[in-house]
Amino acid sequence: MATTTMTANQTPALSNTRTMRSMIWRRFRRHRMAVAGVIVLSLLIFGAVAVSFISPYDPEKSSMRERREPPSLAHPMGTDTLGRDMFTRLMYGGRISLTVGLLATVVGVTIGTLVGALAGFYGGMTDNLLMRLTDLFISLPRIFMLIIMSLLMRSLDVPFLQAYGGVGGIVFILGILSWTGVARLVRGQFLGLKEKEFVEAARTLGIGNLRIVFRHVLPNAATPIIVAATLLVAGSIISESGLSFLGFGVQPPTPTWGNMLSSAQDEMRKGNWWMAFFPGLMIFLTVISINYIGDGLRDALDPRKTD
Amino acid sequence: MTNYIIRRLLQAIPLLIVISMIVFLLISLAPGGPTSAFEENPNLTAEDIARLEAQLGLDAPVYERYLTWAGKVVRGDWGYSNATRRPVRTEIFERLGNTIQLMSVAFLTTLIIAIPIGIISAVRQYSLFDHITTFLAFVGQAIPIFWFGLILIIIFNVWLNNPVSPSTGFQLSHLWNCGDCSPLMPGGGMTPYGAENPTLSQRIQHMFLPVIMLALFGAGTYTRYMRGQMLEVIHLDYIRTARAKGLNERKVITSHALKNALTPIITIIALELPALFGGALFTETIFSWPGMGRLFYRSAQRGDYPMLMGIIMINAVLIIFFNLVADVMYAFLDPRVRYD
Repeated sequence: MATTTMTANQTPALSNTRTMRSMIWRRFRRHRMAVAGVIVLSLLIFGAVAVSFISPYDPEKSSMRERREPPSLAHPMGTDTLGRDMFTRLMYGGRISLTVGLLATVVGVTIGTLVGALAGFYGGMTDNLLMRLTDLFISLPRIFMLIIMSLLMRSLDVPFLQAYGGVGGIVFILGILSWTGVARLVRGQFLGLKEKEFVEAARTLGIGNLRIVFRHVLPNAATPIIVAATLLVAGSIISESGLSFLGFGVQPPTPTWGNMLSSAQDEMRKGNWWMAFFPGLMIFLTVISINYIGDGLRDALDPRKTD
Repeated sequence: MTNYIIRRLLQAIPLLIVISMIVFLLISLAPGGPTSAFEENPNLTAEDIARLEAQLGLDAPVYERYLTWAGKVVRGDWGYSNATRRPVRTEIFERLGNTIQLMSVAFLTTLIIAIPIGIISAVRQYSLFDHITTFLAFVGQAIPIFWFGLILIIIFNVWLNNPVSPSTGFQLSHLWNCGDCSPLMPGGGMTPYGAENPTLSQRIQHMFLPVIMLALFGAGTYTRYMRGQMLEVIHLDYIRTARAKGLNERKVITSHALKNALTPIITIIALELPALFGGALFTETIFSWPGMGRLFYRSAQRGDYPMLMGIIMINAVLIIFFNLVADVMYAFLDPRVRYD
């Protein structure tokens, strides 16, 4: 390693961050399933991004002569009821499913972090009010709320919500119903951190509350937030696909793993297994990879663990 | 303790009121509604529809309609289904029993699978058994439940047959290759189609796949919980004491460790029970199980808002109730926790 050959007069701060990062990476690498998760997820993302170069097929072009073909060399995952190549459509669907999962998590984590940080830092009435709000959202029956909110989203005449078969609306409702866990987590972190000396020091220097919250306390609470956010991506992907499976999510012809699975339901009962097997497999592989990565991150970032 | 329970029950009331307001508002903003079916009708003019809306009280402002609805709900009138014109309460309670029947069998199956596996995994931490079950639990948590249901249908309903053929009798190979055999398991419904008095075995067969779908799905999560709790307890001093005084290992595990490991599990069960209704939505939809989840799905498709409102409120009540049960159980089972 380069650092070992360097002379002793390097700045301590630099070497600290370097060893910290390499230590986290070393611990993460030791979690074999997490590394496997990174590889599988990278392949899926690569496939989704590069599908137009990898696959010779058009995702929308139907072919009457090639309808319902089981997996073969020409169509590794078979074809659907309109003769479209399943693999190509699944990769295009992956773009939507992965983006929805990621964006919904961004919405959820942003709301959760704001609510949790304000509640934990200010305490008192603010805390009380925000935590009652959190309790309220926790008491909402999730899947049922997702369905009625998606009915509502579909009727609103806002182009942003309707784009790509309603992706914007789905991201919004998934985010708005998924922030409670992060809020409780961040609040807990802030309750402990706000009593620490470095917050006192920042205050003595005359730094404003908002700046203390976001520049001083929040970075110290980053570890559990990162882990929770990782797992939330997986949860959002499952929720989106579940909603699309029931027909209340992203609308065809925009393909997602969930709505492809939905249209394959009847085919499944006729024995055309590949039409349902592969979309579900994509969801499963993505979710298990992300869950293992989250598990690996939790171990790697845990400061109580030392090598 | 009684004071605590009463206070929590009183706190639940404003929470329920706020939830009902939010859901009512969302639903009143959604498209469709009782008069939407008439909009396509050429014999009805816009004035006719407006008159109908006035008759039904739909032209009043949202808060007024909410108060009317709330006043009726308190007196036990949950409104009428837009689709069937029958009372919402009757429709829901006709199906609630079917949902509870399916879920209780599925949940018991989950616990019967998960608790022993969790205990053995913890006692033999890092053994081959532990590694395999930990992996399977991860798989179980990552499988989309609706996909799992479809896989079960293709294996047990489409591919595998009942090995008893009406013409040539029992033969093991009939299981995968048979011309005139029936499917191994029914792929939907609660009883055979049109059956007046289904036998117990027919009922069990129809329950088999939906129960497996829900049970294996939940088993992953509960195995992880059980293993985690058991591991926490097993390294405590009193367990070492029990071993040191010469108690056999079996007794240490079953009567000393297990008792304390189960306490938090019971709380978790109470908190997670309402989530089962969400899982039931998928199970009932896939297997055409005539329960509350399927009713919700059908009502959402038809824009039957009074029905959606009723089902969501029942679920909100269940969530709040089980939260309270979880807290009370926790205090009841763990003498160190005190509420006042």
